[in-house]
Amino acid sequence: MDGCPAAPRGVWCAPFGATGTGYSDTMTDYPAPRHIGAVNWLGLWTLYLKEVQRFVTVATQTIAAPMVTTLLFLAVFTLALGRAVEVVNGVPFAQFLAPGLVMMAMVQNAFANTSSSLVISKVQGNIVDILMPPLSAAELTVGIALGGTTRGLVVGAATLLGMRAFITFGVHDIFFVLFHAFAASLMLALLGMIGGIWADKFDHMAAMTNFVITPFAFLSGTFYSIQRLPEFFQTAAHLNPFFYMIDGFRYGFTGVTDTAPMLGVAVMAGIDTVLALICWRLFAAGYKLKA
Amino acid sequence: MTPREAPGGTAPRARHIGWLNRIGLWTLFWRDLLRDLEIWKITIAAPALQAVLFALIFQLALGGASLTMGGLDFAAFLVPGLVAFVALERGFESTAYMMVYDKLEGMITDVIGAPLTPAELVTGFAIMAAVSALITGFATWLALLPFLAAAPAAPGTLLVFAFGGGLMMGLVGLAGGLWADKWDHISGVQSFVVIPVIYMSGVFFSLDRLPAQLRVIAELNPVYYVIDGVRYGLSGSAEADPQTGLAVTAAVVAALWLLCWRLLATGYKLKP
Repeated sequence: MDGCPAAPRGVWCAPFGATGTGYSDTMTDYPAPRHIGAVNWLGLWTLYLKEVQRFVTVATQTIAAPMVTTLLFLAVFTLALGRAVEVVNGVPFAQFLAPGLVMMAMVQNAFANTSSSLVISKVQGNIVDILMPPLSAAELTVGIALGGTTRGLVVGAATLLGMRAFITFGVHDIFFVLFHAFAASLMLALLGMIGGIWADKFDHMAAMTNFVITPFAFLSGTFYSIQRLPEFFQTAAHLNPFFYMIDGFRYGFTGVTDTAPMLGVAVMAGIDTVLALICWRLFAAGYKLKA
Repeated sequence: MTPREAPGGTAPRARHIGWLNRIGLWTLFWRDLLRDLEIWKITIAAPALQAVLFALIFQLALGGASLTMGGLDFAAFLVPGLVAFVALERGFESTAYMMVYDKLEGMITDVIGAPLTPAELVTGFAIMAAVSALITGFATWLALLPFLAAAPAAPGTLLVFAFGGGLMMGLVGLAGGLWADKWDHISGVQSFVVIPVIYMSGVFFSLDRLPAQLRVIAELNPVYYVIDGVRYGLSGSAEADPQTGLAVTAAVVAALWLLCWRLLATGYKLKP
């Protein structure tokens, strides 16, 4: 009771010169400190939900708009090139193009989700809301990355559904479809986090999107088989992770590939691991986040 | 009779404004054009790069197969389409983003508090957007020279249609920006109306690729005439008659000018 005679029930009382625990002893219903085990599941879930709700509230911008844009690409390419390019690698042009376009939409949106979340939080100052809570660097990495991955997967599913209205495509191997959808969205979500942590303002973010992510997404085999490329660029494509995700995802639908399918799986898993470690390291060190 | 001196004789006299506030119009034009030019990486370099990427992937996807489109070699068809597409989109963004930004930040009072009539505001914004579109279009044309190394076939026509298209989309952006209450609204207009209309207006393919019913709709679309006119200016071949195109463009610009003038004169969403 010392020091805070008038504290209302359930309110923690500051120990102004008080002896003892600093709590009002007679109150039995103040909240006990929550015990957090190895993983702060509640915090992680809350962070994930925040990241998901961020894009769901503006679903027309974050889900419907990319879907419409991707369908337009499909229409434009098949109308423009449909007569001249009938098959690619033995696959009808529209069926070849569709998985590439879906992958392009997924990666652009996964990247946009995490990068914009971090840059906006930094510029507006509410980044403290995620730095202050009892969340470890690993939990931050996982929560934010999965939020971005979810955006990628939702956009991908919406786009596929939209395309079903216009073209037919079967599934050759569902494992490759699901694995590459997840691994690619995760990779770009992690890249978006690294970019978002590094960027000081929106211009930096826009530059990364316009001059790095979009060119990679466009030129890594979305619209053509890399066998069309000159020898040198074919070799270079094998060093480009975007090539493996597009090719692997397409293999899941069409069963046709420009490389060994399991190599793509290994490359994507390896890259995701490395990027996750970098993100974790950046959060742990507080790079550009903590003074 | 000379204007009365203020007491003390040192205070600046009220500026006499004739039928047209030239200084105000020029200031408005420069203020907003400089805002576009200042972020040239986003307003000029990024759209030009996007056009180059499009040209590149179409060439690669075509993979050496020969394709004639609208009587032209495909590259000669595509490059003018991309230049027009980039310029039109820039025209829209120029006024639309400016208006939404100023409204959200409260800076719009700087514009509506200035001694500018609604007609002067509409004209200043539209010309600003058209010049911004021309600059971005020119940069894109330069960037696309590796794909189509040829001087414009009819530079005069090219300039008229590019400027007219810039005015048209600048006015659409102005009306959209006035209507939008937040970023979601304006990006909705862009994603669901402006870009689909531009894409389907003969940027990438000749309208004869469309089914007959769609083709009729496409031919009623003024953006189609702008893109066709730009293509005539750059490659010397048009699907529609350039004079019809010019008449359609002028009529649509006039109608949009009146709409925007009315919106600003009544203070739609700007004044209580």
